[in-house]
Amino acid sequence: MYKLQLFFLFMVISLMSHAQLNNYDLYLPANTNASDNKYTSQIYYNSHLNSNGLTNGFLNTLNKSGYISDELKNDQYEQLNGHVLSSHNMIAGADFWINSQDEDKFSYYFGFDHQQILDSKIDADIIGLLFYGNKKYAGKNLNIDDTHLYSTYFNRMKVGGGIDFGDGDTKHTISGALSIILGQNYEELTIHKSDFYTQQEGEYIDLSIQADIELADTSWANIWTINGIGSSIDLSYSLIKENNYHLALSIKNLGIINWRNASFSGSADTSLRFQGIQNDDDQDQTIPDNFSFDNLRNIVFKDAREEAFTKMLPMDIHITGGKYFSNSKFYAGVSTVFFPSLHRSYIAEVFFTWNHKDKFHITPIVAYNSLEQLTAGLAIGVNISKSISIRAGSSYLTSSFNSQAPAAQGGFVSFIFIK
Amino acid sequence: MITALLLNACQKDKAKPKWNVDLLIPLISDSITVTDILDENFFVENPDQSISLVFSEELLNMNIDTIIKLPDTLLSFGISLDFLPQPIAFEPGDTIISQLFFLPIELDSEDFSNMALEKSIIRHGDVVFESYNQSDTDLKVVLGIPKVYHPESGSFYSEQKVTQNEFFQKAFDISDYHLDFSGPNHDTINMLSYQVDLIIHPDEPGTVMVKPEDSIALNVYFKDILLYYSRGYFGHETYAFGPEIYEFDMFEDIDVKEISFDEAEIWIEIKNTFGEEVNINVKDITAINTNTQESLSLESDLLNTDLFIDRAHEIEEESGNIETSTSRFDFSESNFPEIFSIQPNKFSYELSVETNVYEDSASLNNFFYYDQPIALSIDAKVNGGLKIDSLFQESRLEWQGKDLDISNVSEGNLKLVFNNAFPFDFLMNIYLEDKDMTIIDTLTYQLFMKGGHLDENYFITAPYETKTNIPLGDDLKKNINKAVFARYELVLNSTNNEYINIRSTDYLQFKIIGDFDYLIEQ
Repeated sequence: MYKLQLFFLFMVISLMSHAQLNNYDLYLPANTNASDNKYTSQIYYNSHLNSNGLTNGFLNTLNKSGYISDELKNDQYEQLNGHVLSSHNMIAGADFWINSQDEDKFSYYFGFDHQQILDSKIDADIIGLLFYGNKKYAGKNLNIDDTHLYSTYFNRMKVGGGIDFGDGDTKHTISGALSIILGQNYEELTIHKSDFYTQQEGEYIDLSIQADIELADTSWANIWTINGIGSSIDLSYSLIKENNYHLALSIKNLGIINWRNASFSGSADTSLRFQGIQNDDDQDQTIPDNFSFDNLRNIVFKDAREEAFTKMLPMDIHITGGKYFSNSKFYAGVSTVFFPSLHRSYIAEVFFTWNHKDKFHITPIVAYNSLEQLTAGLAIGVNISKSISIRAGSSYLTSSFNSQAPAAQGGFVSFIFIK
Repeated sequence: MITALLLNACQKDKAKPKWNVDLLIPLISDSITVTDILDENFFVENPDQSISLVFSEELLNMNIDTIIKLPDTLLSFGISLDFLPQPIAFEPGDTIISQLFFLPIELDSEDFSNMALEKSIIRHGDVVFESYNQSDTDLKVVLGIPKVYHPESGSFYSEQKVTQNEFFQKAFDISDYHLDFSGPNHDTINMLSYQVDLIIHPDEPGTVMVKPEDSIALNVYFKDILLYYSRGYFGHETYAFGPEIYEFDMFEDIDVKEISFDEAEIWIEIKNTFGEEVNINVKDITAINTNTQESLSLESDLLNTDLFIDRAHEIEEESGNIETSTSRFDFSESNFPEIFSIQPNKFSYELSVETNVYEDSASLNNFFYYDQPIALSIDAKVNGGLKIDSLFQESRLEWQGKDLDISNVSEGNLKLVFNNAFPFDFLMNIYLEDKDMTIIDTLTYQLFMKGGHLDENYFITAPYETKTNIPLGDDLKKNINKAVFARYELVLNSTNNEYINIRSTDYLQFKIIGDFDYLIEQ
């Protein structure tokens, strides 16, 4: 029962909150951790989904568990060219800051988050094969190369602290958090080169493949699943001069996870011919008994190991800065998040915030990312009372509702409670 | 693989999209080669990969009865006590007489007159021991034959009580006994020794008187002796065999309609397993087909001619390990093609065997083993092709249909593709069977598959492809999953009813392919 309540609470947080990574408002930064506050808390949700080939309409149907019609498939497939890059980052969590209330302006932090990261670079032929089946390609050799699929889910329990220092209106804040990570699952498949050929009549299927794979529990069951243990640190520095400017740098997910449960890793450099059940079966030439993922991977990766492996987390680096104008009535800034290990390697934003008497602010945003997507959106912040604020927004308002456009979706929401 | 992984990744978010794909999936693949259709014992591959029908069929084998049978031999020992000057008293257990005799076995009939035996092993037979006691005393009579011995139980030895004035007879099985005819100094032949002891029987109540008029007669028979092995010199003899009829079932084994022997190479091979050189003189060979009542006699220059075959050699005496001597005689120029054309199922023959052609009686190195008779066989290699008529073949393979998830097949066909690179036409039936091998569905029945394309020499130049589609209805879907075996039946006929030539590379390949509109459902 206790678990259920926790789960429910977490899901509510995940669904209702949107967010940010630090305890300042990206689009109108202020030191919310000021020492005259007893504590600050927030729950948040933040998501980015980008693809240079898969459309919003297709991904929406996919995620709604709908039937993917031939028309939808055709519309989608016609947009594909070469390799399709896609990334999805989702983080949901809660932060709690407790100020020391003394001269040293130290604050204590604890929090938790759940992250889902999917990242891929997929040869369009694979998607064609997935959409249409192999009959369409009978008699043709599909040369599939440079394909990479990465997916990981994990939860972090964080503790840390921060300190404010500075003179007059200029304040520096340095904070850090150490995390214990409960890894839920991990999948990474790299296809260096592969040829797939279906004989014209379907008499045999040839597959040659050079690939590497590392997996830990491919079937995610629930939020409580633990298949790996790790640790990471988050570091943050910000500089703010009241009513003048703000600069900040933060690093998140700098750490490792040791994946130990249901782990599977291996390399393949093999050629297989599937030609059906035979009387004189050679194990390498038989049709699989079934097409389950586990069975297929065991056929391709024959010498795989089922032993623990350790992987780096997909770290990100966030840099932001901005300038206040007109006695803090306006704030103009830039923000860039770098994802060094992902195919969507950065998201950059330019924004301009109008602050209405510290009660309400609205921020037009123009964003650009490494998948060459230029989007625009809007963020708002409402201070409902002295203690409660809500922030929400999306930099994808110009793209999210265009079902034919390459997917660019996401947004954030956070609830902040200050006392 | 990638598809599965992508779908797997999607599964985390519990998204369960569905869509249809068109799949071509090889389900079953099998090949039938020459060795699956024709008994490989009858075929040989030539350098050009063509297949020639070859067979080596034994016409007859022969052991020479005169050699392998030891004549029934009677050895009589009349022991009279008339050398005693007067009755003498003996106590129970006293030996009256103990004597060792050396006597040759009786080989003085005409058949055996030139036979000099050094050693033999008995296949089966008896020693019969007879005694007549003409005295007033019970005797214990001991008969030992030291040179008749069993490798495990030792020399033949028998003690028998022979009651006063009575006749005694007993047979002893001496199968597997060895006979050493070489005498005490291993320098003679046909000789055996016998130890005879007459003893006052220990059961006598007291002193007995043995009188000069008392006597005892002993007879020892070697009876119905068949030899497994002999070594020595068997004499320069000529033995006649036949006329005798021999079964010949080659044509039933090959199971073909007609064979063209026009280009046949035919040999008679004689394998001499005896340790004596022989001349074999074939007087007559006549082929008989009892079904058609046809018969035809061999005509050849090699008839009534001595066909010499050198002697075999023993690698180790008595071991059965011999190096045979084989000679082949080319009968290709005979009328064997015509003889085979009647597809005989019997042969009658008449021949003679002349042994020890060189008449070397000094070496005593003749030998024979009963289970390795002289064999005469016919070897043929047929290059002229054959006709096949309604040859039936079948095979069963595991279907593993339960593992094929076809429940999501919206519609589709099973595509059957046959590539026939045989010079045969096939009629094919394919059945699905349950675990009890009961037919639950028929995929094809009497499907005609034309033989491959032939060149002017009736060799295959290209396979002939036959395709058929079977709609995948609900019943078939169920049966595919339920099936445990797939069984096919083939009926073969020569293409165009011609004599056809076969290559080792000829094949029939068939595949069952799923051509499915498949609903992928996560």
